[in-house]
Amino acid sequence: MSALDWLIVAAYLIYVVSDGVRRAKGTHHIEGYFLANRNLPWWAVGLSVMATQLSAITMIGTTGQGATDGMRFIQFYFGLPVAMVILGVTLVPFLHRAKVFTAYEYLERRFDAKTRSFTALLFLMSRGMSCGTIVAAPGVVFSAIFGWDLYWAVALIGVPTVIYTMIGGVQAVTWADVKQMVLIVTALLAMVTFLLFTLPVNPDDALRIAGAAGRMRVFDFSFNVNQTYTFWSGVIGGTFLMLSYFGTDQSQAQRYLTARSTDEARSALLMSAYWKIPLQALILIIGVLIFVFFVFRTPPLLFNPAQERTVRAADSASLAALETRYASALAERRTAAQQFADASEAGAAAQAREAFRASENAVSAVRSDAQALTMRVTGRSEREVRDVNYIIPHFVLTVLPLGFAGIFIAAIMAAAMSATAAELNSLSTATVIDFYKRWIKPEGSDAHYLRVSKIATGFWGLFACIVATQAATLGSLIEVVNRFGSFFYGSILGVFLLAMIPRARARGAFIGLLAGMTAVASVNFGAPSVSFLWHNVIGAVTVVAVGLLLSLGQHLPSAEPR
Amino acid sequence: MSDPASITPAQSQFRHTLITVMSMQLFTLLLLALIQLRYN
Repeated sequence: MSALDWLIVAAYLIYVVSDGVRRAKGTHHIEGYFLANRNLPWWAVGLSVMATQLSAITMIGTTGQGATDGMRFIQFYFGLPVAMVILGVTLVPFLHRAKVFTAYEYLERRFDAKTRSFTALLFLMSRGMSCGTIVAAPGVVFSAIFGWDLYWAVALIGVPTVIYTMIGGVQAVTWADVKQMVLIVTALLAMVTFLLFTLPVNPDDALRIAGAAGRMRVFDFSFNVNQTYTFWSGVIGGTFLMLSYFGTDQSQAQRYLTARSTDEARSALLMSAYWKIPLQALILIIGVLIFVFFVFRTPPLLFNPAQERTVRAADSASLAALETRYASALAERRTAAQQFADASEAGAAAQAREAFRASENAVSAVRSDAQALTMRVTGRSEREVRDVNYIIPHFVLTVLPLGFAGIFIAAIMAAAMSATAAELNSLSTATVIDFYKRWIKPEGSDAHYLRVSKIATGFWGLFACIVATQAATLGSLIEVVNRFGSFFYGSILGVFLLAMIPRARARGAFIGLLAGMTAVASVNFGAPSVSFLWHNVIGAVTVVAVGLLLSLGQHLPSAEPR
Repeated sequence: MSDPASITPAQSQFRHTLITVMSMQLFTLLLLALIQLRYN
């Protein structure tokens, strides 16, 4: 990167931190620190909701997925608008009117302290770890492409985020999210424009080439529970996942609890419902266009430069042989693509399309052999040597002109920081409100709670950075925690659904929660090929069924939802 | 069916937003389907 690009990154970091710290003025109470005195406009909350969901993994992983796998990942989001509408008429009014700080606080009012503390604890465990992975993902990529130590890469993202979140609270988080979303969307639009003007073929031919390589398949209507991305898993499983995430996860619930009114909270969610699929399509199409770009321009055999260096040092002869095969396969693919783009007559076009597909398969075969070589040399698993996350950084650093690279790297950092800040803020809220204030010191002053909240934010920031720096060694542990997280995500949704049913009782809710988690764990171990998107459906349905059944057996005075 | 007279301005606004959001989604899905039909 040039000095100008680094200057852009530095200017972004300085601005976001100084603006966040400035927001601390006037925040003297925890209601201001955690909920901005419930006075934020819907559009700022809506952008914050979107920025929280969009992390650096989306910027580098999803675009990379677009390049290697095409558009079909978009089906994952088909349930989002449906979930937002359901939440807008069900849970959001409940939580907003209850004037709670956390979603779990509502569960104590409705059921009991046990259910509240258990769900809040599950949230802290899973989000604490996932916060680390959110920082780790760009940290690992930056350290590989810039040759930095992982500690510095994590610090560059983690330290500024912790500073502005700790000092400025939710005001700083939300207003930083607004600016970060503007930066992210600007960078994405700039990237699409650049690609469309740089490709040697017109946009129509570019998409035809992408389609011939299977990158333009959006819908898969097969009903296969083992397949992650299908229309049905997206609409049904995706709806349950998004209901869980936006309805019961404090990192999202806290965003709309800061809105001025219930209507503004709803509007904020509907804004995300409105823009999410088009935004995701934009991100994936960038990946697809980068694939087409590399059909005409030579891409590296291995996109991860650190792994490429290791393989070259360990077995340069095998790598050189693969590179020779790769160069010839790429040349054939380029010629086939140009012939396909030039073919105007239907019969010739179909023939050219088949020739291009064959050449694309040959390129993929060499890439697979290179990955097998990397696995053998490094001793790492297939998942660890996949270089999907390095395609976009490679493109940004080697192709984008002066200034553009700086904007895109700043946008990747913005995505990582916006997601991390919201999570730190919500982890601190749950720690202070659901545990410290509830169990340790119920009668403290506001100033005391504010101090403790800032310490809690700092603690979770430090925890996330430590997890991120240990990402390589903690890899399997993080995976265990993520898998464990999928056991209860749908189950927690089930408890909140029960909370809205007047007949449901505390005992039924708690035992139902445990039953839901057990059901998901059984499916996970008994039928491991069932896609995780269905776990949320199984968890939520089990909790509601068991919870209601047990509640029907109880003849206690009715506890109306408040 | 709710009585039109009992709908508050906020509810009316919500319905309007809801219809806009769902129309946008249908439009996006239709566009994606056309893209698949044209290029896949």
